[in-house]
Amino acid sequence: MLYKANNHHLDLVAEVINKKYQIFSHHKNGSVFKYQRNQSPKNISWHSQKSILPFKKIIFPEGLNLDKDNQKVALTGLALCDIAALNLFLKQFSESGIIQKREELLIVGGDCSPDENCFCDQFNLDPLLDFDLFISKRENEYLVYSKSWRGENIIKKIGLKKSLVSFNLKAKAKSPKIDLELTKKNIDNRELTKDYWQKISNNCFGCGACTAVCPLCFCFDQNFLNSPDGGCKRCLNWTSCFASDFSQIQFGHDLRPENTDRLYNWYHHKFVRGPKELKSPLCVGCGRCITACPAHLNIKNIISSMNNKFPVDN
Amino acid sequence: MEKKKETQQIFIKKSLAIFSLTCCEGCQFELLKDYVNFNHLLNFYELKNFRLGQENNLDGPFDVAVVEGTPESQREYKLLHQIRRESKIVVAMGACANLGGIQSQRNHLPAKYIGKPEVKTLYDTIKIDFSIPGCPITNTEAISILVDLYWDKIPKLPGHAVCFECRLNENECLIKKGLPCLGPVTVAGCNSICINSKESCFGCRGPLPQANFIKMKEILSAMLSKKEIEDWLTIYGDYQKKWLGINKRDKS
Ligand code: SF4
Ligand code: SF4
Ligand code: SF4
Ligand code: SF4
Ligand code: SF4
Repeated sequence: MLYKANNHHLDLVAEVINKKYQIFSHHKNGSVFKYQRNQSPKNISWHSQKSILPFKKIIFPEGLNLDKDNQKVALTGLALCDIAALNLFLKQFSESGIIQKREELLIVGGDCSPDENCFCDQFNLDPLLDFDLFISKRENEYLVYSKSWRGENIIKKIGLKKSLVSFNLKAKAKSPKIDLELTKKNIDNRELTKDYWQKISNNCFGCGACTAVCPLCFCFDQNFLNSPDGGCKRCLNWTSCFASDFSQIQFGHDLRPENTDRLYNWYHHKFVRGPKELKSPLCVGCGRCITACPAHLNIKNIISSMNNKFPVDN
Repeated sequence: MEKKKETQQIFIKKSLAIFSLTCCEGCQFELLKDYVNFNHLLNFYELKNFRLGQENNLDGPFDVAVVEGTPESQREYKLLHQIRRESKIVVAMGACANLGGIQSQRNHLPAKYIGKPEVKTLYDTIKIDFSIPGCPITNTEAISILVDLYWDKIPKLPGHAVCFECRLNENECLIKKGLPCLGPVTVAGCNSICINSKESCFGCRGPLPQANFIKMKEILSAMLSKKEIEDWLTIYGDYQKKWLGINKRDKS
């Protein structure tokens, strides 16, 4: 359902949410944005900003202590790409019991302002996304779109008027076309693309910054930390398929010894295994990895130039 | 709130020695930085030799010997070999021991200025079992490595770069701003402490096994001269030399 709201209404929405959930939104921190807890329901930024780390740092924090209980969390101001990524993230972890269950989350979307690295329009993000509310600014009012009973319940408490304008969620980025089917086919054919990956990996540090910021990279090490007070802590630490110890097994044998193997795995997981296992690429085109890469590598350009090089059925 | 459990003394203590060769002794001080942690360590180890911290020091044998600094004098070379002979496990602590340290810049000076032999790392001198990297080391990492060693657990250094931790800390990337930084080729584990304070990473923890120096130089060449790049890559020793500390870990 679609409703009309003004600033005052949104403050009331925030207060209702605050009764049940810890609220998170984007905060400006020097020249960067961080996704952080709102200590009070005041001054929530409903608009989405591209934070360095996405929502995953809230529901799946680095060093996650497995012996702690989950909190109810409201993730507000999520752009379309982040909502889509969150949906996949929950799907990946649905049976694990490690992160919050869907019913412990309130998902609130918000308008975004795409930058030059965004390419969400290449992915089929719009239909069937699972969220509770989406708050969109119009000239002198807000539109509040509710998509779940959780959303409806919040609106009922405030009593908003319905809106009759037309509203559709659409990926806003405008990027050159990428053929995802061809991408999948090309990457899956490692023999064909071997030299290509070697060339790219020669220009890559294998530092893992891209995997740290990606909303759809979720690899972790399970660590048992001996603490000096005699105890032992069980926790999950973020890791990356670029790490030198990631694919190591006994006696230091490495299943992916070269950086080209690791880089290839990144793309293979994103564009081949993702569609096989979760029915979607493990990339939503948020562009965070492009912004983060100290070697100035660009996933968007890397897959399009691969497709240009190997254009037809192979 | 969970109450901190007091350790019951049920384990047999192992013996520990902490030695210092030529260096600033900063790593030893870093070990002492957190007295609570350090005291806990004493639940596991009998501190047989630690000149900085106690008056009565004993000779070997030691279960674990930690050595910082580089050997310079005859006496220090002799001591180092003696430590190796008398210790089951020898741990190289800090950038000096692992990479050569600031003093190893001497190795790159024109011959006429050098009155002394080359600065050697501990790895160049004796067999080293494990490393605690950094200038200085990180207190929590060092303590946890020593506790792991007590339990016969092989301590592991991170396999990813400082960049990874730097992204976790959500700093503005210096390279992206056109400023030099060695984070992409440096072993993580310091929690990107320098970049958190808006300072570049100077690579004190040594290079990653996958360090891509060709790319590093290419990126730095947009910001620094050739000579400056060379200086950056030798601040704490010769980064491009295969660092035994890491390669050894991979094979063990
Ligand atoms: S951030 Fe860039 S340089 Fe680092 S591993 Fe990813 S692609 Fe390679
Ligand atoms: S791969 Fe890059 S663009 Fe795709 S979702 Fe991850 S960070 Fe975003
Ligand atoms: S791309 Fe690498 S780090 Fe990301 S989820 Fe896949 S294996 Fe893990
Ligand atoms: S500031 Fe340095 S360590 Fe941090 S991401 Fe950039 S290059 Fe890496
Ligand atoms: S950021 Fe770099 S120079 Fe600073 S402590 Fe870490 S490894 Fe050393």
